[in-house]
Amino acid sequence: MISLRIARRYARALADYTFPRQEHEVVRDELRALAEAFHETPLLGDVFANPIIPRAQKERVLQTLIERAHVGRTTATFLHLLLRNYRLQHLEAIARAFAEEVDRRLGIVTVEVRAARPLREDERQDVHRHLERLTGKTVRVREVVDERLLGGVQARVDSEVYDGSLDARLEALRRQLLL
Amino acid sequence: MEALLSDIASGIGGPLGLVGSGLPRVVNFLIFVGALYFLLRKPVGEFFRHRAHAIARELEEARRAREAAARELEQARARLARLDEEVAAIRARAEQEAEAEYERLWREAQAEAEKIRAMAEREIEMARRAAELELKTFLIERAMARARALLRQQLTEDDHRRLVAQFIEGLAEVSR
Repeated sequence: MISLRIARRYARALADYTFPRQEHEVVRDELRALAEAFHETPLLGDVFANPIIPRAQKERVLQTLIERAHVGRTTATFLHLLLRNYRLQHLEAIARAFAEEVDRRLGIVTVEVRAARPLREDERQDVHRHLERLTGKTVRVREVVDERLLGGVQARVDSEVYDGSLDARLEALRRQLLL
Repeated sequence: MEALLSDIASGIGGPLGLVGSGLPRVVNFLIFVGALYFLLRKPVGEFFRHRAHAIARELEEARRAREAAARELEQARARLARLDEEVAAIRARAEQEAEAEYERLWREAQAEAEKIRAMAEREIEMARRAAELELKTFLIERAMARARALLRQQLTEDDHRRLVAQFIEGLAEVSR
């Protein structure tokens, strides 16, 4: 597993290159699509991680992948760089770090919202509006339906958790009783 | 010696009839005796003087020893006379010491017993608290599990919507 520090280093370098050229969103989407392909086909990662397979052969596989995914020149060059540095098998982590870096530079914060049941549209909008007011940033809500929750909603902004779940109330009650 | 000389004198005119041939022999004998006396007088006198000194010394030592023995006997008699007092004193002192020792041991035993009692009380208290906490935890966990099961069973859609609305209100509160 690649360390987060290394993935962030690549992500920052790529962001430094793409932001002045306004290519960051395109590259982010392309990397995300390729990362999904890697995720769905673990064999791809294995091929690029295998030291027995010659580099020329890996280059051919990558070229095929690039052509089929119709990625731009910047993304293609970045992928070749990763292959040369033996990091291509870590594309998922690097794509995720890049997306976070793009969000950070755009002032977008991703908030994970967990709910016992899917939110209604009006609830979703209210949550979104209040989270943006709370953080003072553009918020991207990642909604997760968590069936382990009894009821209510939890929102995680970075390391901070706003917990409005029934589970949290029960836990608070349990702690109070134990005192 | 006188008896011998009288024997010799009587022998001269005696039944042996040695007046003619016996006299030189007597003279010789006398000379021999005189020479013997002359030669042995000093060493024999010396011997007897030494012997007398040795006997006197031994007598002196015996006297001293007798006196020392007499003194020791006197001391022993005196000690014997004081023995009852000493025994009584020793017994009194021993009784006193035994009493003090008994007191000390008694105090130490009491202190130790007190310490053990306090420790036992603390341990009992700790065990009681631990048991209480364990029981309390068990009951609370059971109650919580039951509450979760009931809530999961009985929460309606309206309840869910109400919980979401409360969360949104909470966010609004915080973001103000």
